[in-house]
Amino acid sequence: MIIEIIVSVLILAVLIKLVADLKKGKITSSKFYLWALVWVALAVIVFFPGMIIFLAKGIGIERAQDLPIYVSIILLFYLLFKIGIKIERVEQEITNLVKRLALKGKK
Amino acid sequence: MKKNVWVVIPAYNEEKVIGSVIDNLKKENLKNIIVIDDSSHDSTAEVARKHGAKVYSHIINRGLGGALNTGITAALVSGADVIATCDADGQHRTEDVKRAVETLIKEGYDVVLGSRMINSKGMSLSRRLLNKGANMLTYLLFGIYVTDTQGGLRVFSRSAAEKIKIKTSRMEVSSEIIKEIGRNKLRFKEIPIEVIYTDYSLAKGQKNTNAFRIIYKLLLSRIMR
Repeated sequence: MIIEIIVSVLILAVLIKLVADLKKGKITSSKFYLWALVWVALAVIVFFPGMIIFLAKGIGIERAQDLPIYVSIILLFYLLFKIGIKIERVEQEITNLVKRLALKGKK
Repeated sequence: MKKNVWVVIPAYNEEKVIGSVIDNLKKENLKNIIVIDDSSHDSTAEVARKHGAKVYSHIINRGLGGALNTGITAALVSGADVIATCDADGQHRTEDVKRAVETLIKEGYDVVLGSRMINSKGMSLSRRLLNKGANMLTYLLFGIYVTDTQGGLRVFSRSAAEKIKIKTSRMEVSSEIIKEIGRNKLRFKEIPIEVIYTDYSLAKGQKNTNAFRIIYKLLLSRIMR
């Protein structure tokens, strides 16, 4: 029972922060929905652990404990990929900036 | 009509050789020279300026792609009809630069590329194999086959230079330019060139392991589009 309380308090805090960020315009609405979904799904799993077994069986994973691991690995890879693309964009912007400065400051 | 020809030289820590490269180009009557000093730690910019080049300085190092991008734009702003690029380390013979420029003007191509592979003696086997691999990959990704995708000697007509969009910052720019030639369906010709591999230019050139980085970046750029 204790784990349920701790996790739900945590998830609630994260959700409140997400809503606040959305209101302040710090994150886009699509990002908000993505993360809200992830955390709500987590909450559901904590309260109804049976769901996992049901879900895992549904997609053909024998050991239900493996499902969260698979999901997190996929999520991590996705995030890494997104970060890679983001860094590339930032690099391009820096290059553009340096180029403009060089063209302006010809000696 | 006399064409307004500009030579763009991206340079990073090349104070020892940049002066003689500029002087040799001038001997070939290539007098309009732009040097992009990619935030060198030595006096590359001063030496280049002293030898009569127009120098643009990057405040932080951006790599070959960034420097070429700045240089080509600078040449376009200077009113160039023809833009040549060559390496700052002295590996390109200035006669070859001149010949490439003349080929473009006389035969009316959009792009002329110097190829080290048409006559590749003097190049190590590992380097030759890597080059072949790079060519194959470039073909698979961008559908255009050239014998040397990684060479630094290129000549562009003004309209070609305006069409080619350089986005990558570092060594992968070489393949990117090939991709842009394919995308814009530019008419190009490869001419054989001889390169002078001195200990100096070998030490400064690309490491073979750099290939993995380039492949990764090219795949990424393919996905990002």
